[in-house]
Amino acid sequence: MNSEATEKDRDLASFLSKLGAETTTGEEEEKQVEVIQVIGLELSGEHFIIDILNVREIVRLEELEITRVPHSHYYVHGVINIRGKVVPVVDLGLRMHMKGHMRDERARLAVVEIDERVVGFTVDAVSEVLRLPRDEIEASDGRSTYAAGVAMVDGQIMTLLELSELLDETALNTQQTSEDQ
Amino acid sequence: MSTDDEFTREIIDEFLNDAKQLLSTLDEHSKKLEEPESLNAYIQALNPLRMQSGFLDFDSLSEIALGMERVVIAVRDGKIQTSDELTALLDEARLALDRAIEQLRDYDTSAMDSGNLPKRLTQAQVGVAIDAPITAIETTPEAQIAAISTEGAEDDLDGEDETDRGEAAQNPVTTPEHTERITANEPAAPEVDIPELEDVEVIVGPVAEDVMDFVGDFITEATEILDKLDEDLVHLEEASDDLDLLNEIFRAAHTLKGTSSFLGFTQMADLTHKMENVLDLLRKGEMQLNAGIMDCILRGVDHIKELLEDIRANQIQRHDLDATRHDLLVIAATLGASTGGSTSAVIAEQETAEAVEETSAENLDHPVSSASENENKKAAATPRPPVAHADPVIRVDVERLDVIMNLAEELVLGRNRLLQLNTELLEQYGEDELVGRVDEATGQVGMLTGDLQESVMKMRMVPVTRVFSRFPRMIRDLARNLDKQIELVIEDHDTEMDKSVADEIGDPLVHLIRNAVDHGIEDPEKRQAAGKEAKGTVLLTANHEGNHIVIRIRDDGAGMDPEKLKAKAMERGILSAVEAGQMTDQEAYNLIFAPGFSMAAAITDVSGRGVGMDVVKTNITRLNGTLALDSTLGEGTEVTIRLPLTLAIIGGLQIGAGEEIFIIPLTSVIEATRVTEGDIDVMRGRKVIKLRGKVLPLVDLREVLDVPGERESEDEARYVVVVGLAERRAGVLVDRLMGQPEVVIKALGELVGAATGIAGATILGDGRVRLILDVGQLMDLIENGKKCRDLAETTETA
Repeated sequence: MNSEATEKDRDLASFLSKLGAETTTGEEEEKQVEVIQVIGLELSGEHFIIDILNVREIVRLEELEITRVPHSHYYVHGVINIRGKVVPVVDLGLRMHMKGHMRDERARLAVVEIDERVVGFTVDAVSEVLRLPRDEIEASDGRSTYAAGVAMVDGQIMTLLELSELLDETALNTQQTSEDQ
Repeated sequence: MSTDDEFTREIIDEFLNDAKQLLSTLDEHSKKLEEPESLNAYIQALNPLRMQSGFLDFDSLSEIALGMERVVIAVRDGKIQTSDELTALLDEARLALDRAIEQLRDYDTSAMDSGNLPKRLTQAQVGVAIDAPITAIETTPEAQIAAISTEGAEDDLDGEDETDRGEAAQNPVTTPEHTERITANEPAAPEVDIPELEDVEVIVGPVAEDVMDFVGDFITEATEILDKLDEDLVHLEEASDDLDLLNEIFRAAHTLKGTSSFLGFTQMADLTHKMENVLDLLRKGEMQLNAGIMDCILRGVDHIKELLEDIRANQIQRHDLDATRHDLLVIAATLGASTGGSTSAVIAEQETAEAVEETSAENLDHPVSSASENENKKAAATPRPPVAHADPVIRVDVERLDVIMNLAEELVLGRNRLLQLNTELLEQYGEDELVGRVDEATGQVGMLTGDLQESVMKMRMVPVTRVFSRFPRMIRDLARNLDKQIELVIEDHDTEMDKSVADEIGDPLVHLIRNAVDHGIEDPEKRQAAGKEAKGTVLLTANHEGNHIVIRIRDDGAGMDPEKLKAKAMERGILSAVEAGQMTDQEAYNLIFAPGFSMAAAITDVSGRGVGMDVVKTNITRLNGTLALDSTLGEGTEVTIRLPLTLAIIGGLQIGAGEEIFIIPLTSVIEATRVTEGDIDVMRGRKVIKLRGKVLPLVDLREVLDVPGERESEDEARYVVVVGLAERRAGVLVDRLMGQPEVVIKALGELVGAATGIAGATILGDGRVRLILDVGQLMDLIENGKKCRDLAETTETA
């Protein structure tokens, strides 16, 4: 499909060049930076972003009836029914060793899916959908395994979350030794 | 047998289409057989022709094709030279193929008289072997056998070696020493015997891509054949003159050989071929079956299983099968010759070449039709089923069934939700006529969903025989190993169980049966001394009881001595003296399920590592089954396994504890009873109740699951749900009993953690997630708690 699109672009380019218009060639266009769409999340006043392709839905936390799971990890609030599927509710703040989420009307559950694994993350609020060119995302400084990169948007530092790392149960033990509460 | 069946005609037409192409390939290459490429193409065209016609029971065709194939393979391997005579013979055979195909065009599948053509093809194939037997010995096993039997026939004339060889025949080849002895006694086969095993070319690595599509079916088919083979072979040992059975076994081996060679599994093809040779001799009554031969054949079956495992893993490896291959070869050669010796006076008078040809012909895959006596015998013994045997069974990938199963489960959840909403609707707008119609439709959807769910579950049911079929073989091997006489009686009552259960139950049963044979059944002498029959009996039964399948294993052996069990457990540090004193016989029997417990004085091949019973318990626990042991000293032991019919959709008991609601799988629930605070005792820091004289440990859900919410008053009545898993029993203390919904177990999902005591979750009609309790883990929780307290007590007293 890509090559097809490139070929069309080439046709268009040659067409335009015949008209004497200035344009980029297909090869140059390919070099153009990919733009990703992300969703902004708020947690304890910090800003995070996640790739929109991983987000299944955003639900108001107030509306949910969460079933508590005994003897679960301290960052697990319980499980809920999302469209006939049992989905765990994970406190994103606690998962990342920050404070737990606020419990007000702004609180949301971001249901994310990676490799057919579905988890709901609680956050203080969900802000907006952003379009970010890939090259504006800088590599993470490696301080946190959960950060895939950092971007500056309107003077705000936003951390792109590495979701697969957050879903990896064993990743926890490398950082935090405290067991279940 | 001419047939006008539609289906058969279709098959024949299809075959004729293929055959046409293959024949034209043959013609294309027939004139240039001296060129290796053409020769190979010729062989490659013959092979599928032979396979397909053999498969479809077009005997005349497959017989001629086989003969041709063998001849050209002999040419390719340099065993014989091409000659005008040979080309003429092949041309003649080619014409015979035409005639056979012409006959098929009229849908006439009866055998064609191909005269002595097959015989002459065989002669051509082994032509050189006669002139120069030494080179023949280094070549094909057939030629080798032929050569040996020829020499054997000569020897039998002077009759000197007869006794020795007869003895060797009775002492089957199982060890290298034996092999050497036979070799030494066999003048026809000097020490070159072992190296004569030709190398089988093995392509190590994944299965070739071009046959990949067939491999799945092959594995299924082969697995079935092997299971059946084990069973049939053991039966055969008891009824060695059962010609039907022999033919059945021969056909099974033949099918395996054909398909495996077609798919390029050379090791399997070679091994099955050698087994087939031995079976063929048995089938023709040219040699008598004995335990040694049977051992060797069974060993072959085991090897085939190993090879099949490789194929399943898509990782073909070279296995060292030479010992078995060699044994099979020697058995075929030695016994074929020695028993054939008495009838071989005629043969011996004839030319040596005749004898060679005769034996080789008998080793053909299909008996020649000119050898009419054999053919008739076979035909009389096993009437061929009509070609168009429309199988009412269809094979479906389990994954597809799982998809349907999942959908049905989702549908059940949807139905539950719909029923709930319908109830609410009726409550609010009950008078409305439309609501009445919705109610009607809901009811129908509900019923259909139930029917669908049941049908899907039935689709996943497999006969329990499939699990049991491996046991006759196992008992036979065990009995031989342990020098015991044991009869296995199986009563399966056509019981069926869910495939997932059937897959898991095999291993525990193996351990239980081994245990019955090793520890239960006594030696024949001991049995007779105790006034029992020398032959012990293991009874294996399966039947349905409600929503359960019950499997019982009963032996009439020595039974278990509770005191001895206790002593052994104390010796191993599993049990304290105090605990032993309080123990009932029943509890003492259950000691055998403790990890690390073993009654065997020495670790044997069969048992003694103390792992087996632990495995039994673990597997049965995983299946949500229960396990009960009963034993009478001197009379025997009975193990009863109770399993849920299916694992996915289960009945649940909804219970309330504090503010929360949980579900206990009904399969684990034995009974429920109302209790007041006064009924609950505390024994050594552990809550218990007495129920009909039995002390039952209690699991207080509020405590072990940290359930929030206070009880209104201490006097309020509560309920004890008595649960059982494997051999353990306990009471679950709950506040309310709330009905019995049907639930679909779903995993808790990612990241949740240990969630000890929770088996999974389900979504109920109201759309809420409810947790399903893991009865086994709950029992562990209180037991571990008890151990901690025990430890605390001992340190206090110390």
